[in-house]
Amino acid sequence: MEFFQNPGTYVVVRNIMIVFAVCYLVFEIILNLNDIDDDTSNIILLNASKDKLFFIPFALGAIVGHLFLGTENEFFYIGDLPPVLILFGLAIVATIIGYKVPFKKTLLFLSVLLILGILFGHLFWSMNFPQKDLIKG
Amino acid sequence: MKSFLHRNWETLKKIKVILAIMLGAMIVIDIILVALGPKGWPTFSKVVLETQDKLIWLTFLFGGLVAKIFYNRKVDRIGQELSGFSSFMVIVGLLFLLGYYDFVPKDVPNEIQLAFLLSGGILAYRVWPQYVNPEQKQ
Repeated sequence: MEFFQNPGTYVVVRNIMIVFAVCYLVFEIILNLNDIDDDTSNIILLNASKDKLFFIPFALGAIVGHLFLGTENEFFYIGDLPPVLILFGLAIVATIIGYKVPFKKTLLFLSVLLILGILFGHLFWSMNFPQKDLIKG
Repeated sequence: MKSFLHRNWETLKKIKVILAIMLGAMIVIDIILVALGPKGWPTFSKVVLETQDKLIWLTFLFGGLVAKIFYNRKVDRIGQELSGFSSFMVIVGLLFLLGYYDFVPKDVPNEIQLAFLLSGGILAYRVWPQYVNPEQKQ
């Protein structure tokens, strides 16, 4: 646990995260209380997902799987960088499809992408693989 | 919808820019942290991984925010949204205190993390609806 070797740096980074979370929530409250409706970030993100950027639920799912879950089964380990590159690659391909091929994105479709993203983050982009150095060989 | 976009296009553009700046700032800071790694600075992911017990509030909040995007319930009274938001934040605050004062075990298993994500999502759906102006609905 590196946390116990550098507790100070962990606290600083954690505080940066708290500042971002607070800024985001304050921003959301301001958007809620202004005189324009339907301008909160969640609605903007949903509309973007239903429009051309349907990759958003997959990306959010991958972040959830990566940050909060993560398998320990080394069978799924494909390296540290490949999952990030795959994610960026998929984002680019999906964005091109979104702009070139118009189709209806139902909530079911977005939910499937969200779950697939969570599975991707949990299985291939996990931070919990044991003894990564040994797996790399 | 089209007239709404037309009327508020400039404001919506500003909101998108602010969101993009926040996301960009987080990515830039994370890249700087990767570069500072050899000096003992952790990335955001590493902090979440190694202090899962203290950040259990973030797991819950993230579950709630994701649910707010895709599974939002709409109401026509702003009071319902504000009271729901306050209730949700009280739980987040409570979880923050539980983590801060070491009431959460050190290694949080995936099943428990998933339970917190789902609880955040379900609670956000149940108690924190989205206010929609009834005039605009029509």
